[in-house]
This record gives sequence, structure tokens and C-alpha cells, in this order.
Amino acid sequence: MRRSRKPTPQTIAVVLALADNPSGWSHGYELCRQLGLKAGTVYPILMRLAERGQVETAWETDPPSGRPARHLYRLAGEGTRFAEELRAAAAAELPHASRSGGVIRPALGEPF
Amino acid sequence: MTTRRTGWIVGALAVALVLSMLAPGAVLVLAVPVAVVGSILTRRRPRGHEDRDVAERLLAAAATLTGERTSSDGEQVDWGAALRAELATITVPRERRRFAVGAAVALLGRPHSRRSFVVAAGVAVAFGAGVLGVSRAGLGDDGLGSVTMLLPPVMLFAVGYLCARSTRSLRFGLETGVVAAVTTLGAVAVVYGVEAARWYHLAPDVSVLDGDHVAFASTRAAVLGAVHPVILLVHLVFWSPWPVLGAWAGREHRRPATG
Repeated sequence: MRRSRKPTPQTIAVVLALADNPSGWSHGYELCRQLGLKAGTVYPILMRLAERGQVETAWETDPPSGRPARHLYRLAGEGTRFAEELRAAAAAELPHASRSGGVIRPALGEPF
Repeated sequence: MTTRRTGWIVGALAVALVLSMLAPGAVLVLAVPVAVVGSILTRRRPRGHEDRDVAERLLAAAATLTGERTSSDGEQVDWGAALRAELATITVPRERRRFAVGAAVALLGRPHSRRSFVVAAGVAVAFGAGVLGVSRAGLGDDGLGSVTMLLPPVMLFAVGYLCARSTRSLRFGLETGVVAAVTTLGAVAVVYGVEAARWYHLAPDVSVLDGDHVAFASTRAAVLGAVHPVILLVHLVFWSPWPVLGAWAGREHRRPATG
């Protein structure tokens, strides 16, 4: 079992953000803006998740002319299970959040 | 012939000239890495580098120091290229700078230290064993200094070159080469100490460093003379450029020639 330590709030936020977009791919900068986190925080998390097989990566296949293809990220099977575990754990701690149907987000405390 | 290439040739000739006065045998051994580095660095480079802003230069520098990482399915991911492509989509200068700083931190944040230490330790043990073998085989009657001064530059250049080339990571080549230099120095110090004591009992007035006649008062004096900090420092200064050049050459060698 690789996940021996409790994930940080930032890792949880990245995983849940990717889980909110299960069919499509996300860009790293989009995630930074969406979560209010710095690239120095988000990218190490993406690298780690990719190395663990929880996130799959791909290059954009048809980039607009004038800029290089971007790198894309989405949850892999193991990552989806990880996101479900995180949601379940968060719902258990904050039952009102799941009852309201709202999206569970950890407090990050790190402004962009 | 470009100015840059001319500069390398003049520099190599100057190094060769100085070395020929100090140690003629060193010219051939040490001129080879200079020639390799020069030929690689003077290849044509892509155009357009002059248009890059601070953010792109910073991220390019960080990406140069890092290589690809392997994902769980064995795929090599070039995170430097991924981050540079992402930067290309950001147009606001302040945002570009902030993103580049964070991305550089992300790229440089995780060292390859364990692998570097394993390789460096292996290199040091192999070299130490080799020097010890040379001494015990009686091949070092003129002292071990010529072996310990002249062979490690080539060896450390090769370590830096191969590590950087195999991983496409200048950083890994640098880390491994520099750590290998330090561990090899430790191995040399150990072998010098052991062999100085042994030589003292065989021939008390012979220096393990250069085979010259030196009157040591005791075994302890012979050992301390052999592992004197100045001697070790001179070794380190003499060796230190070569792992750096090797890593640089290894990284450059993986780049496709353009132009």
C-alpha cells in the first residue's frame, strides 16, 4: 500500500477537482486557478499522483497553431477510488456537506 | 568557423599548454574531455532563444536541470516540457513570472539523492580498490599521485556524462558526479592512509604520493603527511570541473542537432 500518510489538504483538493471532471482532461494551470494554489504546490502533487498511477497524463493532440501542445491530466482508476475514499471520509466528518449535495472542499489556507 | 568554436579551441590549447609544462602525460588524458565538450557545445542551437522573457528563461533553466520522470505504467513524462507548454498559454507577464517560479520549484524540488549516492559509492569503492591494487602490485613505485590525480577527472567526466545522458537530466549528472568526486576523495584518503603506513614499514623514507625521498619520523607522520588536507584539497580542485563538464556534455548530447 503506497498511501501510508494522510493526504494533505492540497492533495485532497487536487484529487477532488480532477474527480469533478471525470470524463474530460484538466490542465495544470486551470487547476491552479480553480483551487487558488501555486504551480509549485499543484505540480508536485500531479507528479506524485502520476507516479503512483492515480492520475493519467496525455499531450493535447490538436493544439491551436502558435503554441505547443499542453499536458493534460485526469484521474485513473486507482485515482477515482482514492477520490471516492476521500469523499467518503469527508462526508463522515462533515455529514451536513454530503446531505446538502454540495462539493466537499478542504480548507487550503494558501492564497494564490 | 564561429567565434564560439574558436574560443573553445583557444581555451583547449591554453589548457594543453599549461598542462604540458606541468605534466606532459596529462595533456592527452585531460584534453579529450575538453575536445568532447567543445564539439558538443559549439553545435548550432535553435533560433528564437533571444525572444524569451524572464519567466521562460527561468523555466527553461529549471527544465534543463531535470529529466523525465517515469509514471506508474512505465511511461516517461517530460515535466519540463509540460510546464513550458503550460507557460506558453499564459499571457499576463506577472502571472507568467509567478507560474514560472512555482513551476521551477516543482521541477527542482525532488532530488535523485539515493540513486546518486549508490552510483557515487560504487565509483569510489571501485576506484579505491583499483588504487590499492596498483599499490599492492608494485606498480606505484613512483607514488600513487599520478594515478589519483589524472584518472579521476576522466572517470568523473564519464560518470557525469553517462548519468546525465541516460536520464536526460543535467541535475542527476551533476549530483552524481559531484557526490562521486567527494566519495572518491574519501576513498583516496583511506587508501593513502593505509598505504602510507604500509610503505613506511617497507621503505620508511619514500612518499606514497610521488615516490620521492621524505624523512618521516613515524608511521603516524607518514600517514598524516599522505592525507594532508592540502593534498586532498588539490585533488578536489583538480577534479571538480570534470563531473560538471561531463554532466553538461551528457545533457547536450541528448539534444537533437538543429539548424
